[in-house]
Amino acid sequence: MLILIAAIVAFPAGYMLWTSTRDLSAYGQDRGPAGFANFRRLFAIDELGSILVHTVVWVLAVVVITLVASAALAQFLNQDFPGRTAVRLAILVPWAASVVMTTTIFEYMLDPDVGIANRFLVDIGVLDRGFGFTKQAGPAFLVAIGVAVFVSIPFTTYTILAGLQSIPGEIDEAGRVDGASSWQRYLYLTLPQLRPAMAVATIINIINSFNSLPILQVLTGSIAGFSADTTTTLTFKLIRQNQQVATAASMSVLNFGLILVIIAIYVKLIRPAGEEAR
Amino acid sequence: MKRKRWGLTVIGAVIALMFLLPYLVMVFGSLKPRSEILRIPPTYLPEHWVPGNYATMWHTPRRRCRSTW
Repeated sequence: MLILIAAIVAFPAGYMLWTSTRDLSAYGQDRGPAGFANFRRLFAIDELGSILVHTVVWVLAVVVITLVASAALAQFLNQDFPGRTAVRLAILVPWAASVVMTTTIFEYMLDPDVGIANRFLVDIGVLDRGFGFTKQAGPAFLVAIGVAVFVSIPFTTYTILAGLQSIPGEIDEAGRVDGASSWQRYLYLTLPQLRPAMAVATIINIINSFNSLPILQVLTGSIAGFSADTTTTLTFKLIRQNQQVATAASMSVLNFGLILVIIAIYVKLIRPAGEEAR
Repeated sequence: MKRKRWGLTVIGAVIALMFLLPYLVMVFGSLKPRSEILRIPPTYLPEHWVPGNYATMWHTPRRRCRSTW
């Protein structure tokens, strides 16, 4: 077991650290030690500050919107109604489908000329003519947040739904008898019971959105500059556009450190496992 | 006997459609001829249904579709 962990976690992480201190050619050829030159080159990127801000906005927006929407959706899917199973299955589709594929469909639908979503918006009179949602960094970044929420909702909804199903119905019944409103019952009876499910959903969504490359790569990858980049897409651009393998390695180290800090803060503040500790 | 709640079924159908919409666009798009999928403005449903796209898929396309949009 320890050997397995060492092989699949410690070795790649260690190798990444090692790589970040080496002088590498565009093709990954090792040309000897570089000290902290890679990190200096990374911090010399003027846009790094704004890229960090984008990363925070990206993760916060995706995780918060996903959680709120999924909590509502799970509550709905926990009701009993004809056709419930079919609706539950339909919601699984974005999870099962490839993220690159889903994002490409959204890009096609939002194209100003041949996009169906734009034609629809023109037909119902919202727009006079097609708008290039994915042509500028600002709107494209918002679209990317929307797509990320869209593909994150299935997993999150199912996690919360599983949590809801483990709550005994008597608790809600008792609240009803005591005259609590449905909103009070949700806030004070259901939500505390959902804490473990919510904690798992939150932490996995933080990691997934922080490390997400395909959505932003498909939607904003061809837009010049770094105005819609997160630290993860910057790592990719450093390799693909600038051929700076070693700088990308130092960016990966920074990224690795960032996600560790974010998770540590989350665990410290929210104590997701501490619901029993009183 | 419990009362069937068809009102919720209607809401459920709308939600299901929201999550299936991109994939429906993909499936209908796959059945359009080239001239129609790249038309400005596009058609919602294929005017001419071209299931032959699925046969063409197995040959190397002569032109890249992506470059036009």
